[in-house]
Amino acid sequence: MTQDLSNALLNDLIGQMHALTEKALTEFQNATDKQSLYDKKVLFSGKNGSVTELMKKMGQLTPEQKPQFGAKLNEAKQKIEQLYQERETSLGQAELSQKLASETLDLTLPGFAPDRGGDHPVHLVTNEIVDIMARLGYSARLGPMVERDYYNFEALNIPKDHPARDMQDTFFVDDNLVLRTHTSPIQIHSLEKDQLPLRIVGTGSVFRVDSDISHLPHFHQIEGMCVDRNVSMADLKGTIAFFVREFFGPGLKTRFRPSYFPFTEPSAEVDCSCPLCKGSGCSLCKQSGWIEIGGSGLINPKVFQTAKIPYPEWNGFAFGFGIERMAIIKYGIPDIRLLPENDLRFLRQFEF
Amino acid sequence: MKISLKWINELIDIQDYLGKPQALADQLTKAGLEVESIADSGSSLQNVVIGQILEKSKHPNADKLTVCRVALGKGEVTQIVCGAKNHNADDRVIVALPGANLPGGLKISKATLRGVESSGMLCSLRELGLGTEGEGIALLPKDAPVGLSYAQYAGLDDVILELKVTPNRADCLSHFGIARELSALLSRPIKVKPLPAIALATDKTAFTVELKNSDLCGRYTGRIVHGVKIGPSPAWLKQRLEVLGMNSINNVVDVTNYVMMEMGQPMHAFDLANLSNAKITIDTAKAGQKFETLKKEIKTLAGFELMISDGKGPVAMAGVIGGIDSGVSDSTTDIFLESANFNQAAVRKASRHHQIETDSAYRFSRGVSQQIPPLALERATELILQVAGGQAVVQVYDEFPQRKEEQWIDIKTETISQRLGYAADGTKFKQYMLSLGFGVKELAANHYSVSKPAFRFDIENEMDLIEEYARLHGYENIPETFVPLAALPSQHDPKYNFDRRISRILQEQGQHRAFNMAFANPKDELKFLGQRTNTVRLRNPLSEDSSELRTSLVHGLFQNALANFRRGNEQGGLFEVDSVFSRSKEDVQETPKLAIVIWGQPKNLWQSKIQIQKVFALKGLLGGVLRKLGLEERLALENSGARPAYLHPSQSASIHLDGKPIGHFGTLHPLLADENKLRTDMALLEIDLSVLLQSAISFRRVEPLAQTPIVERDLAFVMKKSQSVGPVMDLLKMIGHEWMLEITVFDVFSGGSLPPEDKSVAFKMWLQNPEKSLEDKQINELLAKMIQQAKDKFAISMR
Repeated sequence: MTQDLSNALLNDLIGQMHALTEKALTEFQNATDKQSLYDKKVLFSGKNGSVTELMKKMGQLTPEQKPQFGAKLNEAKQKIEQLYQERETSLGQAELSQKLASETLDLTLPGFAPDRGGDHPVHLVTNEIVDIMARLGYSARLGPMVERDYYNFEALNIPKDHPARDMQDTFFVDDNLVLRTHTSPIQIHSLEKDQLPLRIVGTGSVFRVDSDISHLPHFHQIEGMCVDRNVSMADLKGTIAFFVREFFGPGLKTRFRPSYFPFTEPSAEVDCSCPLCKGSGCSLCKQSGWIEIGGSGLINPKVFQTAKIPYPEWNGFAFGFGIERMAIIKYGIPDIRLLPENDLRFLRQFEF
Repeated sequence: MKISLKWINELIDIQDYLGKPQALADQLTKAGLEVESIADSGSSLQNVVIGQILEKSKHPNADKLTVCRVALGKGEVTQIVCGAKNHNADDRVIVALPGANLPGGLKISKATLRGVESSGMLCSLRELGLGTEGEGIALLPKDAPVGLSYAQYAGLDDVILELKVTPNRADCLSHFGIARELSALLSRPIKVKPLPAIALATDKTAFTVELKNSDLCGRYTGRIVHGVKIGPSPAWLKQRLEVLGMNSINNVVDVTNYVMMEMGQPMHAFDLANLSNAKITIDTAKAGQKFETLKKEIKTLAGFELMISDGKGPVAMAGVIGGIDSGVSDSTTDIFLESANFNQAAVRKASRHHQIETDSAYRFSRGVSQQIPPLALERATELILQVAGGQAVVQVYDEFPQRKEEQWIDIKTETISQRLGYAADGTKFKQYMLSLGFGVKELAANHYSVSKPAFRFDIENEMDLIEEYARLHGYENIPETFVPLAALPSQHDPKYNFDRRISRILQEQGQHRAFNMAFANPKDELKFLGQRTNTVRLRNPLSEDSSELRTSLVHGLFQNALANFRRGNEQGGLFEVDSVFSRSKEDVQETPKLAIVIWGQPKNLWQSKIQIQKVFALKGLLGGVLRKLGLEERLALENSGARPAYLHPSQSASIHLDGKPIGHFGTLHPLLADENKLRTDMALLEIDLSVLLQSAISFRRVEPLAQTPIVERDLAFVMKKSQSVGPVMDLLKMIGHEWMLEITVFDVFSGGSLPPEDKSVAFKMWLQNPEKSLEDKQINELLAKMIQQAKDKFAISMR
């Protein structure tokens, strides 16, 4: 073969090669999905594809021309692969957008939510108070609902035939057993069992023979007691003031009024500035600016004496609140009788 | 207790407070005598005066009306149109002038009635809120002073305070007691009135007083008054009692009540003629003895009551109530006046036992000073002679066996400072004590000995004196401080933590906590449960509906669910955690329980129409709770055994933990659903929490995560419809336990090509060997073993 002939062949092969890449571009563009694109790619650069066909003709070239053509051929192969990749990407994107579009959901349809569940306001308030008091070192205590006369009355300095018993209308089971009229018996159980010094918060159900628009015969109280070496009315007031601000909101004030409970001396009724009007006067506080929230005082030495706790080495304070009353004040519950009805329309308002 | 400020003003000068009762009320409330209400009867009768009709003529345009010219005093005359019929010229009448704002809400202004001007209204007592009779206007006596305010004339120009006196302050149950308290609060002296010289007669009447039980009667004083004339009380005395809400009886009884309201000493007047054998004995009753009260109630005495008896029998229950025959009547001329001191507890016990509540019993049970009976006797004698005449006998019976030594209490100001949390002042302390009627000895600087007055029953130790200091110094002066923690906090009661944890778990699963009261209607609960034992009955229930304590929580929850459903809450879940009650010998057992009720299907199932039967939802819920407590492996359900009446007998099971029954769950019995027109699926559960509380785990230690592949395999068996799936699943679990991550049922199918009595149950299992990958051979061997054993044990085969 002459040099000229050989050059002509080389040029022809290179020309074919260019045509092939041109053709691949067109073909690839015409492919409308990934599969047909791939099928077409095989026609060009597959095992028996056009590129291989060209390669087979390389034998006709001179040893000098071979590497030259080989380089060109590689270039062409790469070009085709590149064209394929480009087309595949663009086809992929189109297919994806089509697929995504076809999967459109109407998200304005309602979602599926499980019931949220929620606590009863009585327990919500109880737990909240326990948590607040726990920060001051108080631990939760419970006690029986059916109490012995001793724990409910005697040990709390309310002897038999004492008029202080009239303060609490009692349900009797028999001569010795009553439905506890307050959570204060928990104080006595704690004084018997717990190590001194102690700080406890007793909670639970209490019962009084009283049922009307503002009283349930079964309601709940919470009771705090601190026994230590040197405890004062000021400590009591400071503790309650902390509680009031934590529970009802910052800035509220606490007020003490003299009162009487057989198991405390001195005793105080506790008022806090009205959480609704902040003390300026509203219907909740009957224009007084103050809301009565509970009773408190220094533990009566007679209670220590009965519990065989050395006084005055040890002394202490106690305070108690009505849970229902706290809930009514805090959440604006219009009627106490809603509490034992357990209407979900009511309970679902306490999902927080 | 009601007090009249006009009356108080006679005992201590509070003239400056009469126009501003709220300021006085604030002082009292601040000192612990809570004022519950202030009734200013005078202010509602402003512009209401006494007038005299000068001339009455017919209304020119109305037959039923009259036109009156009415004199208002000081030469003033006005014209008033009146519709009443009972008035005539010259009558003294009550005139509401323009500007008056009557208690019923009627506002008086100038008006023209059928063309005639009218400047006011002639009033009936009813229109003034003072009476019930409405026929005609009130006609006053001829001596009623024209022009005087009616309130003043009728003694209504007064302010009545209603005090909430706590049981410790028995000394404040009288006007004198309040005056004494005000004297300390306002630093003003009590007005001391010398007792007037009483005309006394010596007397030869043979009369004896024998005090046999001096434990229950600390002092007994009495006096005979001869020749009284029983009749109505004078207006001033009537008014005094009536403004306090007491009825006027007759002049002598009214005096005893007057003295009680003034001095706090309950008294009783006997008709001397009706005291047999001219003697009085004070002793406890004989059990079974009968006694008829002045209210005509016959009481059978228990034996502990202290009775006043004459020669024949009981004439009064001491300090509680008088007898029917011995009291003062219209024909009485000679009286025996009793002013005694009876034991607090004894009076309260008798009063409670016989359910007789009187002002006297109220005061005695709270405590009356033993110093006061002779003083009250003098005061009552003085008043009786004034309003009923007669001659008082000089001799006074005074048995005083319980004469007590003065009690002294030692106190240092340092202690006051420590207990109150601020620096107390010795001089102030002394001043406060003296103003309250205490005796004070200064032992050393800031160290005192204090004697308690006889009228203070609440003073026993230094803390009581500290309270007096705090009260008079003002509770508002107590600062706010904090006790530093001297020891580490202890743990919460585990029962509290568990209650809270169970509750949180159920809330997380979408349930709402409920609260039901602990009372039960025994009939309803029995019908619902089918069985109740060792029930606890209340001695004094509010009603039969709440006469026992509940033995179950689920009955209340069922009622809640029904009420919810009827109010449109078609779907929901409630739970309750609380204790139920049972009798055990001398005691009452409280057992913590959990009850759950779930009902109805979610409303917005627009995508999937599959409804989950509530009983399976509830089973899942129970499984979830036990899983969180680490107890799911120890749970077993039993189909056999008795079921409570409220459950569907073939859609319920008993729940066992470690082989011991802890409760039941299931679908509501269809009869109950029908009976209550409940058109939805409902499932209920109740379990005992005591075992759970003891065995629940509080956390788990983490297990390493296996990296080997997980193999999923299905097995479907054909079995009889009557066969339970649970045991088959348990068997598969047991055989595969080494590699079994999870097993579930993904299909239960009957019909199609299956014989009608058969069902196909398909299980799906996830298997993993944490050590190395499972080989097909191993898996196939395992499955073959499962199939074989299922066949051997349950006679079931692969589908």
